Amino acid sequence: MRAYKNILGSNGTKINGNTVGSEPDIDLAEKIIRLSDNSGADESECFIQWGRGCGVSIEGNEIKQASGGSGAGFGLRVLKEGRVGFAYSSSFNNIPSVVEKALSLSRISPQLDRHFPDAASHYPKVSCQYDERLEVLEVTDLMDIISKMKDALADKAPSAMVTRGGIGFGVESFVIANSGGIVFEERGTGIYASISCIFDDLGISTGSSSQESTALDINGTVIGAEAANLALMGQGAKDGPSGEMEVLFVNEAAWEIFENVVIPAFNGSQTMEGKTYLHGLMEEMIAPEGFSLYDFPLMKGGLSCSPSDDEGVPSITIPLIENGAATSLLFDCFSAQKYDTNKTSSGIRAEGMGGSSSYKTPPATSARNIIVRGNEEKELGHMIEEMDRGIVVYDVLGAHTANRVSGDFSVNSSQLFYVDKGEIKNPISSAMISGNALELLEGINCIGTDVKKMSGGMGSASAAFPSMRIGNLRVTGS
Amino acid sequence: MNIDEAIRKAEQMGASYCDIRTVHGGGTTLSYRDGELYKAISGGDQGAGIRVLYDGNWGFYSIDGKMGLLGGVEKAVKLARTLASRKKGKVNLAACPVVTDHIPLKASRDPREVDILWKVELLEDLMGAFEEYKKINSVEVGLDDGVVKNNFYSSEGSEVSFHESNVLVRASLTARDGTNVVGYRMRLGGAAGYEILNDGILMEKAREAAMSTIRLLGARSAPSGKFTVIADPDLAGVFAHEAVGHATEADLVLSGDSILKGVMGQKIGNELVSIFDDPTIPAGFGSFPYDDEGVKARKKMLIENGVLMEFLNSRETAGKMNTEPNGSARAQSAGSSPLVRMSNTMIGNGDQSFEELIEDIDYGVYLKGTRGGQVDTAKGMFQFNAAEGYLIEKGNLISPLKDVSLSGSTLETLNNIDALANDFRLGSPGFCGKGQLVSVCDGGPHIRIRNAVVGGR
Repeated sequence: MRAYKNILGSNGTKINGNTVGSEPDIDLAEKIIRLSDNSGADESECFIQWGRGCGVSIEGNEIKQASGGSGAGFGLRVLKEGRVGFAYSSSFNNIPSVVEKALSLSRISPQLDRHFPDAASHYPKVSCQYDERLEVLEVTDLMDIISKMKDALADKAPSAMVTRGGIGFGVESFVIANSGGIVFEERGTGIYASISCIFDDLGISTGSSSQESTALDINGTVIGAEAANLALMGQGAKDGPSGEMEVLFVNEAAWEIFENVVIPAFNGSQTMEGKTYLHGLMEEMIAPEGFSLYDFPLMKGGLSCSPSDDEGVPSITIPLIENGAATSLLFDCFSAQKYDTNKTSSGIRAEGMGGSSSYKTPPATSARNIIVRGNEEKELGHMIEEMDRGIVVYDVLGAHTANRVSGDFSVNSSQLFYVDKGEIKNPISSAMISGNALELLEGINCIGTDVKKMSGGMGSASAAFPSMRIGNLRVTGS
Repeated sequence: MNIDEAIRKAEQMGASYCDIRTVHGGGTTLSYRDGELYKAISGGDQGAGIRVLYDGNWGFYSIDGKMGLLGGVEKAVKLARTLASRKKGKVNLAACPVVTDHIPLKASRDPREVDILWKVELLEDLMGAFEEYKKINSVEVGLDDGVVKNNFYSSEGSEVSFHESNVLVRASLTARDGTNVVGYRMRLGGAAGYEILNDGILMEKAREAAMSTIRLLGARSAPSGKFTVIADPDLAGVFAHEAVGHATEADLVLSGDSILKGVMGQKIGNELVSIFDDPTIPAGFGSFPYDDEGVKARKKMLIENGVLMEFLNSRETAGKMNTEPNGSARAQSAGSSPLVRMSNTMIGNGDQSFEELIEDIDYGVYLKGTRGGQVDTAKGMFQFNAAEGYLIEKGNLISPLKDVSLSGSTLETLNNIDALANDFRLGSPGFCGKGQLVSVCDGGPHIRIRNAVVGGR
């Protein structure tokens, strides 16, 4: 449900619940592996996760709750005679029963020639994933940032009412180890703040904004002002135009469309099995020359970035689209073995809304940190000036209902504006925008300079993503 | 774990209220892709969530097995105290009966007792059911089950414990004909044990899913524009949940984030339309006996004959609205603080036949099933995608349609529903996201909506 995209997780942080009270423990991981190997596993892999977080939420202009939590758990994956089994527990009190459960599940699994990744000789350095200031942040610090958001909002739009928002931060660490000698540990931090408001003067308009970072560098004043601006701009909405026209998706909307419509097709096994529209299109031109799309888990300060994926495979940059051509697909360790190809450091353990990192699930293929490059990148204002007739879209509803197999999508927006001869003329009350992923990619005619770091709304992939203008999509006005 | 001691500690530290939820359970997940078991998970969870009120401010802290309850209580009170040091709290909980109740597991086929090989066989049979459809080139099936014991204790003296059992079987089908690729998903499940899969219901659902997938291969894109639409019980249920149910959540109403603010008791829809939320339906995927504040679950008439009758309330929102809590506070897990949530949300039955609904439609669209939806509760706008559709011409279903979506305004749509069939049924089980995921179900009869915005591609 979109209205809640910006609400904080229950314990106030996007790095949620399953998370840390003590330091990472390589010894414990190795002990679990030894126990599993001695109990009959041919290969064992242990992922231990710790986390703690704290947050403050606001609802209807009021601070609603201060919340926090800490937690830990582990997932054990075993291979026996080529058969895989997985079990997890949030308790470390009865490790032998978890080993037994994993081994027992391996007995019903098919015999496949799979192996855990070999020990890596080297892990790349990824900077700015940890900010020690977030280890010691206090609830009062969070309340100060909330005040900044609310003050900036009230300053710009005095009669707007804050509907919800909040701020949360977390510290998370994990250890991954396997019988093949992989031992990797990582500690990271994250912070997320958002605010939404409603303004009812010339009809109802809403505005929201958020920032997410691995460091204590979010700016409450900017978040509040952006939310207020959107609500003000949305006043006096009119019925929208219908027909084929140019559509400019502002960064958050652009990422939401890409996250749901484009990125899933780069799942290697799904596409190899013919379950996505990219099947048979590798190395073909699917986007304009000059347009490139990368999975870049090594980005300085990037969300979901780390020297290693959740299987202990050293992170590498993967060109998904390079200069317009579909270049590479993503594979976790087992899917790479199945298709006899290279793993792409894409084995991620995530579950729930927003794909929170979790020890409760075995690794699966996922993009990690998506970035784009174009021939030329322009400022948002310049992108609008170049439009003859079209719409500028700040927010979309229902991108996750896209058909991931065919790439067909149809989204609704009630946060959009009509553009005529290079100028924003008026807000539009509501419109539906539909098309196909391949039309969308082919139609990209400009990307913005306004790159924003955002995590996934539905899955675990994050992005540093700009606004994007598409030549021609079908728009159905209200 | 000494609950009494923990609650006493909260009170000694100055908390005016404290509740503690402990959750202990586990479950199994099995997933097959094209005949190959690729995911087999056995999991165990335990944890506790502690919530306190200090000077009208909430503090919440969740712990796992490592930290003791006393440590968690201390953290929760400190969090609330910090808020209280800066602002006056306004939380005032509406009263609710103090209860002592212990409800044993009701499932007759407890998922924990069902042999893993039986579960494997069930999924193999399900995969087998798709084999005869040669155009279906890929099949993914899976199941998730689990049993959780919930305990709730409050400083007011309530003590409630109950077991929850869940079973969910899922299938995702892909069919390909040249470059034409289509997908279809089915789900079956409930808050019950494996007894809900008896009577060949799974195989019947599988056949329907296969037929839908094959139909989609021959379907064309839907027209875009305003049409008369028939929504099937699945999609009607999604409308009840997404467009109406969310807007009746009192936390949204109070924060100005609902289009239904200020219209309680008013007629907001056609008088044929009644919508209710009912967590007491036996085995409903969104059913529960008590909510996560220890309030007994009951049916809520949200809209009765077009009139807005009741909001979904927690104790906090009921306190603000000066009404009674109605058992609508739910948390995803012990690690989460309860929010106002739905359960099984449905449109009430009508009295016409499906044929009567479509016979007058000159040109329209019949929408079946759902691939999900989203709603902007503040503006009252929604967007849903149907799993499949049909073009209606002169009262007849003509050609199959694919990738068709429905969008519009909640209030306009409530008024534009002008006919309901007498074929009520529950929709598919699902999960609702509001920062936290909880299990829900919806349902209704076939409904007719005039002037609905339909989008193809």
